[in-house]
Amino acid sequence: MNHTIEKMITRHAENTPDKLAIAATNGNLTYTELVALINKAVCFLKDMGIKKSDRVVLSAVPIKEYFAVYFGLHILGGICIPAAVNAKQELLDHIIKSTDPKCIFVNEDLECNNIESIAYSEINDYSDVESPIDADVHMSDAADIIYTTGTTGLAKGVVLTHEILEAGAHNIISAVDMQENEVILAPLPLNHSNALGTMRAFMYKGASLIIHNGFTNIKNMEERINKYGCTAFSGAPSGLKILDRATRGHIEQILKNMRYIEIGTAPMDMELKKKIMQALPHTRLLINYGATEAHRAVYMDLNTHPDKLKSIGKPVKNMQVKIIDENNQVIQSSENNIGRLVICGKTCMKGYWNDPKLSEKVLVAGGLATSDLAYIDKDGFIFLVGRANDVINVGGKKVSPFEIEDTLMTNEKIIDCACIPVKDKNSILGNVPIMFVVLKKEVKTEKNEFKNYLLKKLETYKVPIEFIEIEELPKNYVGKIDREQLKNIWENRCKQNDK
Amino acid sequence: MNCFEEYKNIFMRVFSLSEEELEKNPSMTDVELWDSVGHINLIAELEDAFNIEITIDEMSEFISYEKGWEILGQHGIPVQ
Repeated sequence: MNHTIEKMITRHAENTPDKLAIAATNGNLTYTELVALINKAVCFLKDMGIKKSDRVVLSAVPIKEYFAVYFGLHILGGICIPAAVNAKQELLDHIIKSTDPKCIFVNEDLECNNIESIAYSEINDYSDVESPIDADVHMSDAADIIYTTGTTGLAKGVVLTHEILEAGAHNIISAVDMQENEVILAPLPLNHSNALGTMRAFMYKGASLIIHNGFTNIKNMEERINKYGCTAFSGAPSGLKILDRATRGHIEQILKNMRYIEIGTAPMDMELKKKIMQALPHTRLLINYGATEAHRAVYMDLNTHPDKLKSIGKPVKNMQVKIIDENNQVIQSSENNIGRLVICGKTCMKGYWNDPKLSEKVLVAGGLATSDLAYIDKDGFIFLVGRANDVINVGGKKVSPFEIEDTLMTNEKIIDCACIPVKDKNSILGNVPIMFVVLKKEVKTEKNEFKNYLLKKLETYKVPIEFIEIEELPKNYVGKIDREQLKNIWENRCKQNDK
Repeated sequence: MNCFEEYKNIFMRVFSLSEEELEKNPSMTDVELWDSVGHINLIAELEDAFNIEITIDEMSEFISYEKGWEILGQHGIPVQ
C-alpha cells in the first residue's frame, strides 16, 4: 500500500518515536507504542484467521486497544465497522445481518448477542514484533463501513475505501492548516465519522490526539487541555453550548489557548457563532460541512469572512460542489434558485454496503447528492436553506422519523403515529423529535410509558422528548401524513403554554 | 413542596425515572438519559429551582442522586 495512514504512523514512529500519538481514556501511546500495539493487534487478528475483506465490528470504546485494532484490521485488509458503545441490540442485529462480521470487539465486561464477542484487552498478550503480511491490499479496497441513519428508516452502511480515508485526512489537514505540533482535544464518539476523520488526519500528520469522554466532566476536560497543552478543539455545536452554559458565558476560560476550534456534525446558530468569535478573538473558528458518505468537503473560516456568517463556506482543495434540480440536472443557482447540494471529489463513497439501488439514488451528477437544499452566491459561498427530506438532526446525529415511528408502531396500544422535529427548548441540540400518537379506543396509558418503551429499543437521542395524543393524524390527499400541519399544531400548543 | 420533593421531582422529570428507581441511588452510569446533555439540563433545572450557581467542580462531582444532595447541601439547601 502506498501512503496509507498506517504507513504514515510507522514513519512517525521512526522519525518522532517518543512523541505522544494518542491520550486514550486508559493511558497514553507514543508513536512507537502505537505501532507496537498495532503489531500486537495484527498478530492477534491473524491468529484469529482474519483476512482481506473480512468484516469486524468495533465497539467504539475510547481506549488504546480500539485504535490498535482499527489500524491493525486495515493492515490485514479487513473492514472495520465502528459501533457506538451504547448501540442497541436492534442496530447491532441489523449490522450483523447485513455485513456478516467475523466478531465484535468490546470492553471487558460486555457480551453481545448473535456474534462472537472479544475483549480488546486480549490483544495485549500477543507479540509486538511486526509480522509479515501477505494480504494484497489496494487503495481502492474497502477499509471502513460506517452506519448512518437515512431516509429509509434503517441505518445504511457507507463503504469507505483506503483512498477515501487518505483523501479525507488530506482535506482536513489542508483546511485547518494543521501543524505537526498540533494537539487536539476530541470529545466526540469514536464511531462517528467526524471523530474518526479527525483521528485519522492527526495520525496521518504525526500530531497528537487527546481523547475525552463527552462533556459531562468539564473539570476533567479542562485538566486534560492544560496537561497536554491542547492547541485545537473539535466538537459539535451542542458541546460548545454545554461549555458556554457551564462557564456562564466565559468559554474562554477553557478554550483560551486554542489555535483553532473545528465545529461539525450539525448547524451552529448565529448567536453562538458570534459569542465564540467575541470570546476568542485570536482563535480560528472553523465550521465544517460534509456527510458520512462524502467526508468533510466544505469549510468556513468565520474570522476571515465575518460578512458571510450564515454560509457553510466553500469546498476544500480537490473537492467541488454542484446544485441540482429535481431531475438531477446541474443548475446555475442563486438565492432565488435553490436546489439539492451535490458534493464531488475524491472523498465521496463508492456506495452503500450491498445496496446498489439506494447507492444509485444518491450518487448522481458525478458526486453525492445530499439531502440539503442550498444555493451558491456570486462569491462562491454556499448557503443551506433546508432539508430535502425529513431526517431530524439531533445535535449532529441524524435521526429518521420513520425508524422511530416503525418502532413505536410495535406497541399494541397505538393505531398510528407521526414524528416531527421541533426546536430544542434548551437550545443545545438544535432539533429534537416529538411524537404524535393515535391510541386505540379505551386504552389507558401511564406517564412516560411510550418514552420508556422506546428507550428499551432505540438509542436515547432518538427517543422523542414529548408524546402528544391526537384523535387522528392530518393527512394530505394521497394519504401521506401532513407533517407541516403537525408542526402548526405543535407551535399553537407552545403558544398556548406560553400564555 | 419542600426542597426534598422538588429535588426528587426534577430528577424524575429530567431523566424519566420513577420513585422506586430513585430509591436505588442511581448514578450517571445507571441512567440512560444521563449523558452530557441530560447532565447540563439537570444542572440548569436545579439552579433555576433553588436559585443557586453550581460550579464546574461541583458539576464534575455530581455523579449520582445522593451526591447531588451533598452538593445542594453545600449551598444551604436542606434536601435530606
